[in-house]
Amino acid sequence: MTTPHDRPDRSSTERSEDIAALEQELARVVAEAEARLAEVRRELAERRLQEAQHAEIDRLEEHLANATVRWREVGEFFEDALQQLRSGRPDDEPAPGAAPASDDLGPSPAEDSPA
Amino acid sequence: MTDVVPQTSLTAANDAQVEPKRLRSPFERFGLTGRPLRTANWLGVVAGVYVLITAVELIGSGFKASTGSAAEDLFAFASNPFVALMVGVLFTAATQSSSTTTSVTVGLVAGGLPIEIAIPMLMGANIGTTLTNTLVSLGMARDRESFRRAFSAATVHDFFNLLAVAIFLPLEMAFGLLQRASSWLAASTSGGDGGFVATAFSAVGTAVDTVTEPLANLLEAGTSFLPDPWHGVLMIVLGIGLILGVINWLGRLLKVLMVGKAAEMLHASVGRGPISGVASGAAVTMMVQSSSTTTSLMIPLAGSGTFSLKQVYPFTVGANIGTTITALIAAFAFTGAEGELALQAAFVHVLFNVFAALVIFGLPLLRQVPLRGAVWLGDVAATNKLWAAGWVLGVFVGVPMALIALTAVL
Repeated sequence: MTTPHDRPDRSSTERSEDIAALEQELARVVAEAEARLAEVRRELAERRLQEAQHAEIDRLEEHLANATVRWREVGEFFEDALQQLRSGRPDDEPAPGAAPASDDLGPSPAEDSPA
Repeated sequence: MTDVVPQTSLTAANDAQVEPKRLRSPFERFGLTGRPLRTANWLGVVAGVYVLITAVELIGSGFKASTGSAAEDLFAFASNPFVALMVGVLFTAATQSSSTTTSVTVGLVAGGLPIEIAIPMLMGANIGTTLTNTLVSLGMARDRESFRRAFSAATVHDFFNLLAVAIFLPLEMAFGLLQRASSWLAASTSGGDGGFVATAFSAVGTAVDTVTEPLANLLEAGTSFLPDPWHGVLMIVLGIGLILGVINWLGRLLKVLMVGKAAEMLHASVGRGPISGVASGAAVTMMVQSSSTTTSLMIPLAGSGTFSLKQVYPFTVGANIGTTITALIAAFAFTGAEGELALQAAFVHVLFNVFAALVIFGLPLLRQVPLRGAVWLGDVAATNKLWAAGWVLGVFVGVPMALIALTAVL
């Protein structure tokens, strides 16, 4: 069986137009598949997040019991801040000779950026 | 919505080592369990509301006794609305309870405090109450990324309430917006000639007043050994002490009683829009009678990344509305002309928070302001703790005290 591409009487211009159309069609299919995949990924992430949220709400009693100010931690925070003020060095600047901080701030996640 | 997968819950991570903390009713000490415990808890709530209303009544009588007709003179220092605002901020920040501030204010207004002074104080209560969840977020400072998220989630409440005051205090000073609206609402819902609602409110008020009168009279008589104005001052101090204690008591019992319903409400709001977030925030706050509790409980959840800032924000706005129920309950301590004044003060708090939600959260441009402010502050505070320390000390202590001192000097 012969296809239009195999026909010997087709000009090279026609053949290259067919190939271009085919490539365009394939590119469209790939783009569609990628968009669909991204949508599925987003939906999956959202479902995971919602599952995590439901799990946390299941622990509401514990969260309510913990929803108080811990003055010791507040005191520690202000001690740290005071120390920082005295040394004149911000948090992200390691002290001379100290190992680099492991909890690098990095870029802000998208979810916290106002749209 | 986000595709950021949340970190493992902090509480879950601790599970292996520590048994999760549980809410405990004060009645468990007596060995009560099951239905008898539940009954005791509800009776405790009824007793708490009774004491709350009595204490508010006591403050009203005490204020009248201590000032005679000179209430305006006594509060002359707060006739400057900015000073009254700062009094509200400082008192709420010190007691960590906006419900206490609003209940005390309702009592003072019924006792003769001019509503023009009470309105900025009620607005100040909104700012002062945001300190609690901000302090809770400081506890997460060890992990920078968690702290960034937690501090943003806490300060979105600060920014929202500061913006609300920045919009509505000038409007109040220029046009008396809240004063007029609350006056109309109070007149419509109290007295005998305002239709069915007014008749129902009046009947409830009279019944509550009859029930609480004996205890209020007893406390008043118990403090009468002092001459005026000290007798009145002691009544106010006693009233404030009782309100502080009883708000704490009610919070403890209601948390135990309502945790299941609150969880149901939150489960139902997951995955829905911001309006649902506002509604659930308001409902949960009404259930536990404390906006500090509901906004603080979101901090570790935001810090772990389970709830995004955009989800915490409407919940916070709802908490502002939910907490206004306490002042409305407190207003039932009075009847007649005093009742109308008390109700007006309570309506000021309701209207301020409803208007703020409608204007700031309702207008897309304004809605972004608290979010952007909180994201920026979270970012800089995570990098440099001094920003967080400066914010807490500046907004809740430094600026209020400086303004009061400046007004006293000038």
